[in-house]
Amino acid sequence: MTLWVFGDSYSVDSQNTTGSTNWQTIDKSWTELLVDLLGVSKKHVIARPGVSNEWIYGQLLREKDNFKQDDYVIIQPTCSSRKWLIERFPEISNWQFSSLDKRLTKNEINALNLYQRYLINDEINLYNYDMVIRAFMFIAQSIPSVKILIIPGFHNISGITGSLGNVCFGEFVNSTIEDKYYHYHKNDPRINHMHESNHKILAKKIHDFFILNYLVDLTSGFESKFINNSNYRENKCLTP
Amino acid sequence: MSTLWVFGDSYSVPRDYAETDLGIKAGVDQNTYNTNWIQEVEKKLNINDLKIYSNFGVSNEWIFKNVMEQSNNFKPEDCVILQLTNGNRHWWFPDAPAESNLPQLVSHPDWGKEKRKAIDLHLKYLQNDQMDNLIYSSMIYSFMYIKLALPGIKLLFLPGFGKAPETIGNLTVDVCDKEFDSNNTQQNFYNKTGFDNRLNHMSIENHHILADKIGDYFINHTPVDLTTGFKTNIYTKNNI
Repeated sequence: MTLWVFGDSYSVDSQNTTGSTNWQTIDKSWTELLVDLLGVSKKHVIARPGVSNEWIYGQLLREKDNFKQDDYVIIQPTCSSRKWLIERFPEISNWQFSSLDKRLTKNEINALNLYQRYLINDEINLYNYDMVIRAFMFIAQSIPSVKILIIPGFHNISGITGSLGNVCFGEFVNSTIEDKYYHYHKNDPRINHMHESNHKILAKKIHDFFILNYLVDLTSGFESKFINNSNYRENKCLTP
Repeated sequence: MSTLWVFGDSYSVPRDYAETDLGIKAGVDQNTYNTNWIQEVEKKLNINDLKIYSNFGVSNEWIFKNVMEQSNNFKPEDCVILQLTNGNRHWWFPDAPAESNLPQLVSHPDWGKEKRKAIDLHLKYLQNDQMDNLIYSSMIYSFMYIKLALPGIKLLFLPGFGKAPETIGNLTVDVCDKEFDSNNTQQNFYNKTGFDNRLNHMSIENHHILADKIGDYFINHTPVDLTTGFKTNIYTKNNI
């Protein structure tokens, strides 16, 4: 049996992910914990920070024929506003909310700036999101031999309470500290944007979904409100 | 009581378009086009009602939105035609769904220099066919998910440009374009007419052939093959 995980930075494979040098040291991430809890022999995490739903969907299409009976598959959709516009850089899809990457050419930066001013229609982002979620659901229905969980990073979907954003942002005492934290650290040092103890809680909830058919509730039961004004500069894992 | 639902772009505008100011301006011959493929399909089926949601130049997001808004009204035994458009089109401007075909809009007379530049730079540096193909694919899967949820309805994918399940070929490459004996003839035809004066981009003979094929699909479950049986080489350099 294999555990497959498709997603963005909420799902990347722990410290193995490049692009950041300030990762906190934790024992195991939620995907690593799930390997133990589910008793699977292999794990394929196909996730990258900053990617769009189209990229995640494309990876799922590429791999779905490799799923074997009784495999576990987790699809973690990302934010609807991300757009994979520069084909060679799928990880630069969150350009609306981050400083533009130095790898982009001057022409690409100009194009993105003008795109942002004239060509963004938030409504179509929602339709594209709706399309991809229904497509995930269709794939889930059409491969009944594997167990599939769709667990959203940002926007609520039917069947799951909340999103991983509830876990990530719930760790801050308020939004002011949240802003200060991201401004100070630039790259979030928390593996998958959550504290080690929340990795354990999340892994348990996903295990209970797969094994006990429990619904996943991402709005309760997690450690929360422990990143505050006196500790937000800490790089190491805090004590909740 | 059953309904024929048609969703699509200019390939699916109703026959009444020929009588509108736009249709007259485009030079659509009302005597020749006293019917179109949709009306002919309606005659072949035991249908009580016809509902058409289509427009020139729209994107798949616009088509998806209309399908989603109407899907709660679909009843068992209804026939639904999903005529899909080009995956490169997107619903860029909220109030102008018909202005989704960017290559045609670079020279839009009403738009300022900077907006035209945004489109020009988008086409040069941000056009990602891989992303567009994935969005197109996710839309098809999302429609298939609806089909799963509503097993009584008869649903036909009728691709305007790309591919779609069950149907062979598409309306542009296999019907519209093949009415010309060469690319030159086609270009000269469009230069001369200014706007395609063929209702739904096909000659009246091909409306009847298309309607026969669609009727055969809904009645006998015969897949629609757009690559054979249509009249071709109707237009030559000597008759345009």
